[in-house]
Amino acid sequence: MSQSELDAAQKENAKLRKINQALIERLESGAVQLANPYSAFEHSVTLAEQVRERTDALNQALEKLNLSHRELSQANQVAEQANLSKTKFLAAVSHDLLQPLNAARLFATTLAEQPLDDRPKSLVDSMTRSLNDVENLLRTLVDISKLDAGVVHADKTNIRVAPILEQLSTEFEAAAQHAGLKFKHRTCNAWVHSDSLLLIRLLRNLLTNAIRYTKTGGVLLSARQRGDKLLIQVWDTGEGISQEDQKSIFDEFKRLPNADKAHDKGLGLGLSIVDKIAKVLNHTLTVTSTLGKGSVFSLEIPILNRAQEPANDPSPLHPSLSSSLQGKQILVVDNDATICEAMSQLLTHWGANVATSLNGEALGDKIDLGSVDLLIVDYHLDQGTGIDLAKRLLEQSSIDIPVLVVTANHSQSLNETIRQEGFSLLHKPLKPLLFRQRLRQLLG
Amino acid sequence: MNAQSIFTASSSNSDPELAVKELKHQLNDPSIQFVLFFCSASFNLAKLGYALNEQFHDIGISGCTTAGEITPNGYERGSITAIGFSNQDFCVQVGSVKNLKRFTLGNAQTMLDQLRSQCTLSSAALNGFAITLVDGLSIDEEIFLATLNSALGSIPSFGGSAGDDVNLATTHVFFDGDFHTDAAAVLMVNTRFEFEVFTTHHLLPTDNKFVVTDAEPQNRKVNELNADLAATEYADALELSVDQLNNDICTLNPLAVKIGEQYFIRSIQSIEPDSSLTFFCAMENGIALTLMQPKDLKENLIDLFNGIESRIGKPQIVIGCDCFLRRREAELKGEDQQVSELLKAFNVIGLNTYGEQFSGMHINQTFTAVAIGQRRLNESV
Repeated sequence: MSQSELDAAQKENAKLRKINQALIERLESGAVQLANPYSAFEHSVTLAEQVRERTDALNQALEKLNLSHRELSQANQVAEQANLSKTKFLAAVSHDLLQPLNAARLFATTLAEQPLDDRPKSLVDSMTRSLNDVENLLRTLVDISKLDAGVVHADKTNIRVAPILEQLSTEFEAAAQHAGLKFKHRTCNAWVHSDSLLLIRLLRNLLTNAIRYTKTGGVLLSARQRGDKLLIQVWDTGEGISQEDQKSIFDEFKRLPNADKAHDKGLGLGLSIVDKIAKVLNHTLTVTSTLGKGSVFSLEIPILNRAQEPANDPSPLHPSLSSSLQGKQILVVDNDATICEAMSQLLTHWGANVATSLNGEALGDKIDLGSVDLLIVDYHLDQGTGIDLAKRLLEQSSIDIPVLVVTANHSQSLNETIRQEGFSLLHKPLKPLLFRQRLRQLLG
Repeated sequence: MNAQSIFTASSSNSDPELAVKELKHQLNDPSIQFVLFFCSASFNLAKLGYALNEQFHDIGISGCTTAGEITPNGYERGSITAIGFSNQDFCVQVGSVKNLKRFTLGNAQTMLDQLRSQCTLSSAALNGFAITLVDGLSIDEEIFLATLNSALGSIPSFGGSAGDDVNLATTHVFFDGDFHTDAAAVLMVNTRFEFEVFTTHHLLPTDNKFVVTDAEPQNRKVNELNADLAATEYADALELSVDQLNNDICTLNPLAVKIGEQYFIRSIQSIEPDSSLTFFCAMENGIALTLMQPKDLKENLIDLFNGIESRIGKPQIVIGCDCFLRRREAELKGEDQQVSELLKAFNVIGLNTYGEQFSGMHINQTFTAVAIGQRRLNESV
């Protein structure tokens, strides 16, 4: 090998060494350093390649997901449909059942007020109690179906708590006594912004439950101020609810295992209703309980400050019971002949003179409208509504006759319509005591 | 919902005020809520910015300077071209980055979270892509893009490095009412239409390989290839002398790195007097470069466009970042008019860039774009 060839080979060798060096350096820097621009580029390339691979897998997964999503939403639609049907079914059934039940109760009341021997007397009492139970169950079903359908809205006004608690105490003292329990209440002089009807319904459910699940001891209904909140609580000395069960007691059809089956008339819907009403009212409902000691259900409502309290309480809850129906002329229009018959018997028994009609047609020919003291109409007539009929009759008559509309329809809009016409309203099935009070108000 | 929702405009008027007035005249649809523009760096940018703010004061606007424009009439120079997006089918929001070196992953995440939440179209899930417009002479594209891409997640992205009419002096990105350097705009585009983000090039590898044996990564500079002066080694491979090397030779004989099965062009920006080479992208010691050979640029475009058309139909618009070296190659081969016609026929609006961006990668000598189809996505899926 010549000297020049050797030089060239050595030079080539030096170059290759340097290339080798650079490659080793690059290889050894290995791990991606994002601070290095070229590595950042390389990293992005690798990432982009991985993304391409994964996009395929992802697209397939997405396809599957879409499919199951479609299936799910179909199933969901079916379920929603079923739920809607259930709600409609319950509303319809409740309505159709309330009609004959209304008649049965009116008959039973009339029967109970007849002079009877002890044996039939006790049968009538049992029958009345059973009818009460049926009505309560039915009412519960209607409530649940309406709460589920979302048609119940709170009609909030500024209300005093004390009269509500007084009323409930009167109502439940007897029930507690009957169950061998003590009943106490402690009230406070606060005003709150709430819907009194829904609030009473909620508390009534809590009290019913408390009495139902307490074997010995007592039930306390208390209202007390805590900061700017009012705490209405129902205490009982019942079996208590385990930590585990506290989560599920507000579920529908949930009944506690320690419920006394023989005496239990509930469907397990009470607390579910309570929970739903509390949500409609936007009041906070909580429960604390110790097994074997008892439970406390607490409802938290913001208190109105003094400035928001109305000047005086407009609605006394206990109207006078003194006036009489003796000799009053009452006209009843109901498309159900059984109801007409039952009403006629009851009102006659209370001393009124009663005329009934199935549709109100040609009434003007039969009786002198001028002599009628009170008009009772069923809202559901075969042709048109009771409201329209009442308006027509009032036009024919020269004097202003009080009108009582009776309906099994609990809708808010109907309540509003009836109120706007200046008519009085009672829901079916009629409760004799309330019915009688209302008649006295209207005739007094 | 068949009203037009993409509007295009251009003006070759060198007076910034008049040029922008002409744009405004062509983009007068009241539904236009965003304008994306590409302008020659030859405009007086201060005046142009003022005019843009004045004419489009009540809508979003962003853009950048170019190394040549792709207008509704094909290739142009010294002009401004723009795209107006109707709010019926598009929502475009701009994220701004004012200091590329200080852009952290935290910044990226905050920015993208904000863009995602702002970029909404009623009754439609996000169907979008991101466009990045970056200062083309910042030499910070790679790290900026890697950071941004980490936060972009599955959102497809592409973009371009702003140009300056091949002066290689300063490039500008317009956002927040001003032209900026050392900056980037990230445009989040949400649309009801089908779209496809893609990149292509027409270069094939030769057997010539080089190893970078001495690089200055901070300057994108390569001093040595195969342990010899970079320019010398490069010229040898082309069977030329170093004196014969020029930018056009570099354009027609680019280098590339191979990663996986793919070749990524690394374009040479300039041949330095000391026989080193400066690139348009990051360089590192020890990487292997392959000498590439151009095939038919037009054919590659035609194949690409046919493929897109078969998938999403004829696009109503293609927003394209076309490397300025491709345009130069077409000019050198006397094909620029034909390429211009091809782009025009396929509704391409865009710019000639100093580098393209695709899925977080900074690439060179490609045509990288989004094609927006005529069909709306089935909104119920």
